[in-house]
Amino acid sequence: MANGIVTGNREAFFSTIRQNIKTPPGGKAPRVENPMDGLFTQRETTVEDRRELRERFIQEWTTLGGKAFNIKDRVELAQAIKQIIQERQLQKAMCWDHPELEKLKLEEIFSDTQASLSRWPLEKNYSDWIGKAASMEAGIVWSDIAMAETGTLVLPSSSPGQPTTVCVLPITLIAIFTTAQLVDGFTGVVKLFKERYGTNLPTTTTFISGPSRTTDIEMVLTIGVHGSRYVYALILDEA
Amino acid sequence: MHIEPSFHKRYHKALRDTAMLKAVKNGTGRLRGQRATAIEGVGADRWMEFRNRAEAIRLHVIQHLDQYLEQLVDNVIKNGGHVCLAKTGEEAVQYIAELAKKKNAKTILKSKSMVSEEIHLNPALEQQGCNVIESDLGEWIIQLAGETPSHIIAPAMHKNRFQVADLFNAVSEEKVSTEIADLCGFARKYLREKFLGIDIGITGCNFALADSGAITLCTNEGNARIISTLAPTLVTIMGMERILPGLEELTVMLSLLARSATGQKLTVYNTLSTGVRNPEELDGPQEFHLVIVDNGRSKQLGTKYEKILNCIRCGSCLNACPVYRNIGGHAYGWVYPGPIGAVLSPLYQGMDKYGELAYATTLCGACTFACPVKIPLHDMLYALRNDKVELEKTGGLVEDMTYKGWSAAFASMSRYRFSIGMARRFQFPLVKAEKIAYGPPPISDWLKHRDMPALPKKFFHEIWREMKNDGKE
Amino acid sequence: MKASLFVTCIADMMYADVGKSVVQVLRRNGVDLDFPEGQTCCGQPAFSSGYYKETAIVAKKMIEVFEKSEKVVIPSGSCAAMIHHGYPILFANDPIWKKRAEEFVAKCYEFSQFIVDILGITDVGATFPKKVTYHSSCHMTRILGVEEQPKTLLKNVKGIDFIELPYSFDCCGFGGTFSMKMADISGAIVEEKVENIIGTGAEVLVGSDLTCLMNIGGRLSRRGVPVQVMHLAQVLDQGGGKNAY
Repeated sequence: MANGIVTGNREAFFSTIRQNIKTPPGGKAPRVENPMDGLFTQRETTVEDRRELRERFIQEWTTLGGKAFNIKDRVELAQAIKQIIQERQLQKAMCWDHPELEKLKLEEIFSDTQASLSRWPLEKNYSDWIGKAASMEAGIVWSDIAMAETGTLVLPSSSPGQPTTVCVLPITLIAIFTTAQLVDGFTGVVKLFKERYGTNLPTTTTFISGPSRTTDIEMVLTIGVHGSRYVYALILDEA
Repeated sequence: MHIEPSFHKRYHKALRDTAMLKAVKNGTGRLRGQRATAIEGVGADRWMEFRNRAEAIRLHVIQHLDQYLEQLVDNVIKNGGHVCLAKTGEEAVQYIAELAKKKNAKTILKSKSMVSEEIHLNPALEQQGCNVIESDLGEWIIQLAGETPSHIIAPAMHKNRFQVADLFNAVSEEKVSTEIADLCGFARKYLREKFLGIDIGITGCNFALADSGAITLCTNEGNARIISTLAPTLVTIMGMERILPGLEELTVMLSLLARSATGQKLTVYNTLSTGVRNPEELDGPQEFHLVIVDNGRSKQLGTKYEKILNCIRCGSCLNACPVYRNIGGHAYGWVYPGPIGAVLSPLYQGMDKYGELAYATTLCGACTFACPVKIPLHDMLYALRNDKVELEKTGGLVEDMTYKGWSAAFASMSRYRFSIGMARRFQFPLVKAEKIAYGPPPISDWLKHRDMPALPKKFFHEIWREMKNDGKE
Repeated sequence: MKASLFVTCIADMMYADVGKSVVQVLRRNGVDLDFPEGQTCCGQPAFSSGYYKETAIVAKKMIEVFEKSEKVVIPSGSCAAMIHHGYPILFANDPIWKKRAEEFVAKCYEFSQFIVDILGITDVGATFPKKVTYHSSCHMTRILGVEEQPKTLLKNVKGIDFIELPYSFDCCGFGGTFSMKMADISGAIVEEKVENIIGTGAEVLVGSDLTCLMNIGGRLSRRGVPVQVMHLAQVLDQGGGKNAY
C-alpha cells in the first residue's frame, strides 16, 4: 500500500511540543513498565478452567441483555439456530466466510428452515453489496476471542471474508465460538494479539459487549439504537 | 444558539430553567450512582491501583508526547492514511472542508467528537453545502435543537422526552410518540438511511495507538463503527494528547473509561481501526485522514497545568460537581462544561473570556477524586485564581482591598482582636434573636439564602482566660 | 500529653462555645492543653481567592506562633487541610520557609484525628441520647483524609441514635467567597444538603467544620427547620461528668 501524505508543518508542530516538554529531539523513553501487571487476571487455562469461564461469560453476557447457548454437539447447535430463527422470525441471514464456521456446515442447518443464509462476499461491487447487506436481518460471525470477565466478543477482520459489515448492519447478531476461544479478559487478548499480529493490527478489530444501547433520552436505558438489538452467543464445547 | 457573554447571566438563566435542572439532576445522579456501583465491584483499593496506573501512563505519554506522536504519524502514513497536523482549529477545519469539496461530498455523517465542537467544524461544512448529520443519538437531538452539548458523554442530558419528541416530529413524516423506545426506534430508522448514503464519515478519537497507528472509537450505540465501516472516506479528528503507546495501555484506559463514564465494565463497542482497507477487502474506508489538532494544547506542556492533558473525557468530574449539578452544562459557555471545562476554557480560550469559571466552584475537590487519571482539578482552580491575582495584578477591586486589609490585620494578634472587637460592637443594628437575617453588602449576598449567627458576647480568647484562671483540676 | 490549641478565627470570633467544648473534651482525656498567644487564622480565605502573597504573611506568623508546640489541635477540617495542603504550595519556592512549614504541618491534627489517631481514644465517655446525623466536610475528608474518626467517636457516644446522611460527602455549597460571589448557586447546593438532612429525621446535625455548619445552619434557620447544629466537640462534651475547669 502506498504511504499517505502529511499535511501541515511537521517541523513547526513538533518543535513547539519539544520546546515545551524540554526533551531533546529523538529522545526515546522506555514505556511505563508492565502497565497491566496485576491489574488483570493473567494465567494459563485448562479445558476445565475454560468451562468455568464459559459460565462467567454467559452470566455477563446475559446481564448485558444478550442470550447465550451452551452447546454440546451438532444437534444442539441446530436446535439453537432454529430457535433463534423462530424467535426473530428470520428470513435472511448472512455469515462470514470463516474456516471454523465452514466446519459447522451452517447451510445445512438453514436449508431446513424458512430462512436463507448467504455467505460473504454478497457481491463484488460496493454499491451492490451495501444495499444487500443492509437488507439482512442477521449476521453470523465467529468470535476469535471471547472475554469472560466482561462478556465481550473480540472480532478482528483478519481476512476479506470476515468483514465488519456482517456484525455492524443487521439487527440480530449471532456469534459462534468454542470454549477454546475464552480468555479471562484483556491480558489474554493482548497476549494473543501480540503473537498473531505484533503491531501490524487488522484493519478493524471490534470488541462487542452485549447489544447496542443508549441512555441519551432521560438516562433511560434503551436497547438497539444503531447496532444490534438482539445478540446471541453460541458457545460450543471444545472437547 | 446565542451565548450570553457573562457567566453571571448564563448561570442565572440556568437557575430559572426548572425542566433542564430536573433533567440534569436526574442524569448526573444516575451516572454517579452507576459509577459508584462499578467501583464497588472492582474494590476501592484495586480501583485506586487502576487510577495510579492510568495516571502513570498518561503522564508518561504527555512527557514524551513528541516521540509518540511522531511514531503515530509514521505508522498512519505507513498504513496508507493521510495525516493533517493542525496547529489551530482553523487549519483543521480548512483541511476537512477542502477534502469535502474535493470529494464533492453531499452527505457527511459524524460520530461524537468534542474536538469538532471545539473547532466549529459543522458550520464550516454546512456553509459549503454539505449535509452534516450527527449520528450519536444525543448529539443528533441537540443538532436538531440547534444547541451545543451540555455534558461530555450525555450531550442531550438537559432535554426530556417531550422536547425530544417535538424535535423528531419536526423532521418525521409520521407522528412519533413520546415513548422513549419509539423515539430511539425512529432515530435508528431515520439515521440508517443516511448511513447508507454516506460520502464522508467523521469521527472523534478516544485513543490513538502510537505503535500500530490504530485509532480507537468507543460507543454504546454503535454509530461510530457504522461510519468507520461504511464511509468511503473516513476522517478522524483527535486532540493531540489523545494518544497511548499501544494495546496494553489501551486496555487499562478502556477499563477505566467505561466505569468512570457510565459504570459499565466496558463500552459496548470498542473499535480499533488502522484506517484504509486492504485492496482485497470489501468494507472499511478507501481513504483515511487523521487530523491531529493542537489548538492550545501544546501551550500547557511544561506548565503547572500540564496534567490537564491527562483527561480522557469520561465526564465523571461533571457528575461529581455540585456546581455542574445545579446549573447544567450550557452555563459554562464553551464546549467543555463542569470542572474540566472550568480549567480548560480559561487555559485554551483565555482568562479574559473565561476567567470567571475559576470561581464557579466550591473547591470541594469532588472532581479530583472522581477523575480516573487523577488530574488535580481543584488545585488547578486555585492556581488559576492565583494566576489572575499575580499576572493580572488584581483579583477584583473589592477582593484586592479585602485581602490586603485582611493580611495586615490577621498577621498581628492585637490588630486582629481589635478588628473583630469592632465588628462585634457595630453588629447590633443587624442582630435579632442572636442572628442576622438582613444586612448590607457584601453580607447581603450571604443573607439572600441563609441567616448568619451574631458574634457572641465573648470571644473564645476571652473565655480561655477565664477557663485558665478558674483553674484546671 | 502536651498539645496546643489552634482554635481558628471562625471559632474564636463566632463559635466560642465550640472552643470551650474542645478544651473540655481534650482536658478530660488527659491532654495538657495550651493556647499560644498570637494565633489568628490559617489563611484559607485569602488562599482560596488566589492571594498567595497575602496568605504567606499570615501563614508565616502562624508557623512562628506554634514554633514551640509539640502537637497542634485544630477543631476544623478545612483549616487543618489548608495547613497540610496549602502551606507546602505557598512556600514551594522558599527553601527556608518550606522547611519550617513542613515541620509545622507534621504536628498539626484535626480534632477528631488527634483524639482517635494520637490519643488512641475512640470513646470519650460522653452521653447524648438524641437522633444525630453527620455531614462529612469536603476538605477534611478529601484533602486531609480524615473520614472515619469523627463517626467512630460519635457512634461510641452513649445513647446516641446515629443515622447516616445520604450524600454525606457532597459539598454543602459554602466554598468560602463562592457563597457570596455566586450566592444563588450556593443557595441551590445548600438547599439540597438541607433536604437530605431533613430526610434523615435527625434532631441534630453534627459536623467537624464550622464554616460548613454556619452555612447549613444558616439555611436551616432561614427555613425555620428545627434541626440543631453542633460541632463534634460539643456532642463529645455532653454528659461527660464534671467540668474539667
